[in-house]
Amino acid sequence: MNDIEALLKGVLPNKKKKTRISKNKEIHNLVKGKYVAENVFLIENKFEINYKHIGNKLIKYQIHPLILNYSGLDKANIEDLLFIDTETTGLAGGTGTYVFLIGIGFFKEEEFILRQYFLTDIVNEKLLIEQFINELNKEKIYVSFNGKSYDVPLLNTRSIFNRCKGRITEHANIDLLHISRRFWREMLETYSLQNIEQKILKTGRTGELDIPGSEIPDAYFSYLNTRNASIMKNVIYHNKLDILSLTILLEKINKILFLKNYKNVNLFEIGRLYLQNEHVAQAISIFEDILESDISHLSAIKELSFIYKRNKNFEKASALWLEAVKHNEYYAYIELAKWEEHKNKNYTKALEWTEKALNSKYEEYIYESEEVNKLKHRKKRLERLIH
Amino acid sequence: MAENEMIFDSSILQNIAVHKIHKAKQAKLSDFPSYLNDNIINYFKQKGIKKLYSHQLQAINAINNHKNTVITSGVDSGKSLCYQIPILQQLQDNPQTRAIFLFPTKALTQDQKIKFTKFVSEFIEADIGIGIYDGDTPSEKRRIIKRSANLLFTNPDMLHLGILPHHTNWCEFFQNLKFVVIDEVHIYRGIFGSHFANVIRRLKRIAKFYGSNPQFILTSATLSNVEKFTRKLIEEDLEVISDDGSPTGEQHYIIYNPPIVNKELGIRRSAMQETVHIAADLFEQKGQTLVFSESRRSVELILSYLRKNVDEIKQVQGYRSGYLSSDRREIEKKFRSGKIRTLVSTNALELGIDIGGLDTVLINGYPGSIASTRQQFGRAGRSGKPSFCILVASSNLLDQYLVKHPEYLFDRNPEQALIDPDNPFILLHHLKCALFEKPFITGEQFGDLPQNVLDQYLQILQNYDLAYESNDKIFWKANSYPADEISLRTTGAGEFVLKCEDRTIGIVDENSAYWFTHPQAVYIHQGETYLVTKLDIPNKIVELVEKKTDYYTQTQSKTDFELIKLKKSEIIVGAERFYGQIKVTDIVKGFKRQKWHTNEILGYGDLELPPQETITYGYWFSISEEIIARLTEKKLWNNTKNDYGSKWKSIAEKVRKRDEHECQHCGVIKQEKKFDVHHKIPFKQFASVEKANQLSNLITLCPSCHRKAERMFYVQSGLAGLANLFRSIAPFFIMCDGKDIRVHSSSRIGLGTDDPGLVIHDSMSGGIGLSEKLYGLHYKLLWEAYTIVNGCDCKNGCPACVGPVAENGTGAKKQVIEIIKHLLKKSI
Repeated sequence: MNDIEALLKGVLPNKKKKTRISKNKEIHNLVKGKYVAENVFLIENKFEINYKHIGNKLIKYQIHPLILNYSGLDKANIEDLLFIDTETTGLAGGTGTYVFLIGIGFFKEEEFILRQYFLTDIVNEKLLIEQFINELNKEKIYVSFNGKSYDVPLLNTRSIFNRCKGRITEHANIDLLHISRRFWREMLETYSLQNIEQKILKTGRTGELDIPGSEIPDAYFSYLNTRNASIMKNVIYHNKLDILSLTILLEKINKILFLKNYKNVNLFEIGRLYLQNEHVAQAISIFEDILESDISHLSAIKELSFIYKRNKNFEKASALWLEAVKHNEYYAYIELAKWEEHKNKNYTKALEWTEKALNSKYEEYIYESEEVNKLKHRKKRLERLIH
Repeated sequence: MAENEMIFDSSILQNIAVHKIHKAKQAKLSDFPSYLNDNIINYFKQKGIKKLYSHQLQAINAINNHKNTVITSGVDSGKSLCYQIPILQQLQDNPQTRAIFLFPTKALTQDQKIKFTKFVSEFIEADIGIGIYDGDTPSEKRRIIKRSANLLFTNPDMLHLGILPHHTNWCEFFQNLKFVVIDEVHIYRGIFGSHFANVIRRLKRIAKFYGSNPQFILTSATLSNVEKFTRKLIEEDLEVISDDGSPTGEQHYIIYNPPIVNKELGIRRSAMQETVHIAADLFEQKGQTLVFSESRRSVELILSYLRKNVDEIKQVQGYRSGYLSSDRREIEKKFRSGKIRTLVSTNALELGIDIGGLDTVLINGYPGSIASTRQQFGRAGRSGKPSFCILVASSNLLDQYLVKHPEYLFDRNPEQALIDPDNPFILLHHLKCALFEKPFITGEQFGDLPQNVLDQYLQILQNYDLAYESNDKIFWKANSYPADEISLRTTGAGEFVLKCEDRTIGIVDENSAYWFTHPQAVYIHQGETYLVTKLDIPNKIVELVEKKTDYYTQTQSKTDFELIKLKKSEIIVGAERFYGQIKVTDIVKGFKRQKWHTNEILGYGDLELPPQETITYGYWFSISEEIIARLTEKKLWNNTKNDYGSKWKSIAEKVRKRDEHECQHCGVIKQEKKFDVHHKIPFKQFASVEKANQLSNLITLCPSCHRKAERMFYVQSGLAGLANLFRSIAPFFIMCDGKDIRVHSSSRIGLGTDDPGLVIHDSMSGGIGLSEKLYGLHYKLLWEAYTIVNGCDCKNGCPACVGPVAENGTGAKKQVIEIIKHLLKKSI
């Protein structure tokens, strides 16, 4: 140990243990595949349609217009989808995080094809990324789990970092994490893919072949030290399951929407998704369904009343506002006041609602906000109109 | 003197101890160089800038010739223009040009960005992106800035933490990076500077990766070693532009010494009260005054006293860290426009925030360094008008020394800025970051770090499994984000939010929260008093209520050391030296309530706050009993606690009774605790106990007056003198800033030895190896101390050697020389 090392011992982690380089434990000894570039090993699997993936069948399906619109698309064929998932050396992000496994999957005719590009030495990361870029040569739509903010920007970073030929094109991305968060909002503790598999797809992974995602970076580092790829088999398996689960999950989401099988989903959120993507009729029908079974669903009342208002259906809108004021909903007082004043010209009633709004606001807030001042103006105006 | 009489009344005039006048200086003007684009020249001419100052022309020429440049002209001499013009020219010629501007504070960043935006929008047609990228930038804005900013305004911390580790997001920016502008570069000294030098190494490395080789433009306050320092910081040759061509009016430098109010005790009127008095006088004369004061509390005290003395209280404002940044911007604006006439500030305004030239700068007490004093004084000065720089001396030894030796302040070179980019602890961290940013290729360099040293570090990182080598490349190999592991600034602690009835009124940093906003503390904010009702440590919230009080609070704290693990020790000549891990505990034990104006103590309160513990490394040495015996024999040892004799208790009681338990200086009557009995002529100066304890030499004083009186008669101990020497020389051996280490003298060290000696430790939690280095330099340090104290022309001591001597006290020069001799000689 030299002087500098001795000095810095306190701020250094544990010293690297002496490792033996394993023989005959390289990835090609353990997994079927082929090298497609220096240190880039390709594992290809083909699954026939109807293949059973942990309890769920792999089938080709239509993509529901809501999912397409939500992801910025008009139409898409199942064969345009490219399911992607990457494994990296860190979760912190930044240029020191390397990608060592890129898994992609797509439907082609009667098969689902899964290709996993595995990097056996980070020195050739550039070639790995270029393999991926080659897969992108035709118009594709990514399907990912948090790929919008993680996988795709990371692949992009790696292409710049490695000065790759070609760029990662910014295709549309159906991000199933974002969609799942909406579909099962407030119904799951965590929105990890594994938890969704368990709770939503009702399947579990078999433990011995899998590896928890958090252990993957260190497993890869240890592989670099020992050249023993046994644990990398688990990582490759993990990545494969992730991609297959993405296909199943997307199918499940489609089915819910097509069959309107709204048991066990956050229906209000789906209604809002429809609304945000301008499927107004569907949104109305969902909010009406919600209120049919629960007339005091305040968020649904609010959303629906504003749809009615926009559609100039004041009769229905005002009925909902009258329902809402039973729960002291501030906005409803105001809407009623506006409605009575401008549509019905019933200033006395408008004044009544305005005063109620003021009272409801004063109960909650000490300060006179701009809103309260606006209300006071309305009150004055109405008083003038009455007298 | 005619000007002088015009502005001050005689009550002030008679206390002016030093008055130096710098004659007005004419501007040295030059034409705009002809290679500049016509529209740039015309633009500035239209704005009333018809000619350039000579230093601006020099700087623009140097920058135009692709030279790295550092500009050190005075405050308000148009430093920014020196880089604004060449960068604007570049932008116009090549709209792809990118430049990064690094400012030490967010406030400065805002200020400069606004200026640039104005220039660019007014005459560059191309679409030029200008953005601030710092902790306050909202994430949706970040994406736009990354893609499209030509001019990026940020700070070193953000560069380190957010930009360099994500350089691929800034790909185009780095490809076209032409200029790196570093403003107020003198801030980057000590540990902060050593970190920053490494961030620059990383920046250059990433720029090179994208094929660019940016030019550095620096601005700095005057430093005695500016060339050496900046060369070391950016590791490039630089052109130094220091000949200031801007005009100045006549400047008056004044040291004001508050009058003695008690001859017998030698007590002077308080500097703060005098500062208020002078500031009020200046306020009446309608000039614009900036008052500097060291602590945040003193700023608030001056502000509230001053407001009681003036009618238009809105024209008197405070300024310090802890105010909300929006409030600070507002105050700056109002001061610039003249709506605020008197601003009372901590050194938060010392940095180059543009507030224009002022009529008067008034400093309450010496700020502790020549460089800071000059920086603060530099705020005064308008062309064509006389300006005044007034230092109000406090009763501190150093201040009183300056009154007698103004040349120390005015003629000496300011302190040097020192850095050590190769400090192993700092270097290791940044090499981890650099490795994270990009692999090292065999033979690649890291700044001026010798290749073999770099290789050693990279090997260490591999040995500890943080790096991986393959094909002549070394890669980062850990699942972490190393930039997160360090903060460039030593005071990276969190902040407490100050809440008054759900309203956030300000912030206070974690280190100060305990003594500034402890429960029941009176917290003063913009001159208003608040009472702290709760210090919520886990949630970092201070709850306050607005309340007018007739008192303010002052904490009482103590520092303890505890040995955690002794790493090295050795018996050496006359001493034993130690190095080890220690725990430094600062405890705020209680506080006292003191009446406004009179400072009379109204009562005490106990506090049960968790101690603030810093685990760090220290070097200490104890002086052997044998040496102490010899020194005592020669009457050159005065570190032993005074033994006032067995009868002291009854004598003291007699004196208190005689004085009717009334403080003989301020007239306060004792309330809870007994008052102190003070020796008018210091005890140590008497040959016998009896003589010292004669009733005529004793007097009853309240604790606060007692402290004041002691200061005037302070008998410095040899050890305190030695500590003072170590404090000033140690930074030179380890290239750190004064505040990066702490030096204490103690008559009983208590770290595995009960002997007297010195304790020196790293200020930073965890340490960065400074103390260990000093442990190894024991003899060198002593020898250097000896050379300095022996070669010093002073009689008994001065700030340049063992420390200043009290007005009526005795210095420790002789004692220190004797102690060092014993610690260096083979045989006594």
